[in-house]
Amino acid sequence: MFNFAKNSNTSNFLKLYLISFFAFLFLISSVSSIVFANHIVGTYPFNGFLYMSGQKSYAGTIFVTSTNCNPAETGAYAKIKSSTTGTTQMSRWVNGIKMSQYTCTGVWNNFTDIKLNYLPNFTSLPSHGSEGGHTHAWAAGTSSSPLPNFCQANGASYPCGTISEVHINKPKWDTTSSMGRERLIIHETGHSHRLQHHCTSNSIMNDGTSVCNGGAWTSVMTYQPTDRTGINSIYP
Amino acid sequence: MNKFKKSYWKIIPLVIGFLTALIPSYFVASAISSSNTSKELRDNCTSFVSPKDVGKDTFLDTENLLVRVSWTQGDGKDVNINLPYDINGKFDGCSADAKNVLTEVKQVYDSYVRESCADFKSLIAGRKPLPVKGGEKPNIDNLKVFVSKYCK
Repeated sequence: MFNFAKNSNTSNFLKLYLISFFAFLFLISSVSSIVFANHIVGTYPFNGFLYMSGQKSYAGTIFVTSTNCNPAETGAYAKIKSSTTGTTQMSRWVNGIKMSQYTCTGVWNNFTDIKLNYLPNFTSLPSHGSEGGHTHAWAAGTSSSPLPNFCQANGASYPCGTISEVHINKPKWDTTSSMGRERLIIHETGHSHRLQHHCTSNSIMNDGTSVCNGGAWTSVMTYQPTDRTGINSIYP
Repeated sequence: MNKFKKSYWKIIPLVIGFLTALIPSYFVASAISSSNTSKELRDNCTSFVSPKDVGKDTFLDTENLLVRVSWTQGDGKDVNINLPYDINGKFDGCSADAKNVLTEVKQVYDSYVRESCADFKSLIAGRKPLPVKGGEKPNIDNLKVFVSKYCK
């Protein structure tokens, strides 16, 4: 097939090179694109909001602004602190997670990490229903996109963590017991940590439905080992 | 010796061809993967149906401009759907439910930026004292850079 007569060595060499170059280019590209095709999750590390505080001098402290400061928030924060302090699963945050009622204006400022927004018109908003609440979170900075880089503004290195706004169904809140209110705050704080619902054992992330851990809700009022393990695993 | 020389002329170009194909194949694969990713996001947005009376949490990936919508369905399983996020709020081609979710995410995020800008401007102008958090005050120079770049 190949004429290796002296005067055609170079052209045969080139032929073989070009054939192998394009063959491998096609092969490697095809395999790589199949292997990585379904990774639609961005490579942005979803560090939680404790990451920012860990880069500054107030490790483990979260500052909250609320449109409706109330005793249930205070009670919820106390339970979060007590159930995360000195536990084996929280190796990065041995002093626990300290939630602080920073302002009651409900307005974002330079230091707030979470906003609790009690919406009186919750159920009438599009895509909303009769649920107790939900959480919207976002990454606090970017390295290349046009969206604002809050990492830089805070003198923190990228990536610096997440920020979140919790929407509370105010009409439903008004008819909920004090225990139920505390439970909701602690549960939504778990979502702010990037935890999803957990239904196979006791967890603050049980969602209260009958198919989820037998409908457990106010019977689980503190962070459980699985919750603490989840929070700790979020951080590099 | 001649046999070796013949093999030499066959193997060397194959090896060089493989090695030089590695670098461009990375870019080709990335382009193919990205186009699959964009298509999947667009398809998700077109077909997205929002469950009723279920708390839907969202996460805005500001780096890759996508929104992950999460909820737990009736059988207790977690669902995660990624939708494309347009910073100009034009969610063309998305279902009505997807537009509602994305619009809410945008409103929440934009109000965060707006209120933060107002706060930073007040701090820079000295209209309110610098807050202290964990024994630290914000660096005014950092805030000035942020305001000049991102605040209208």
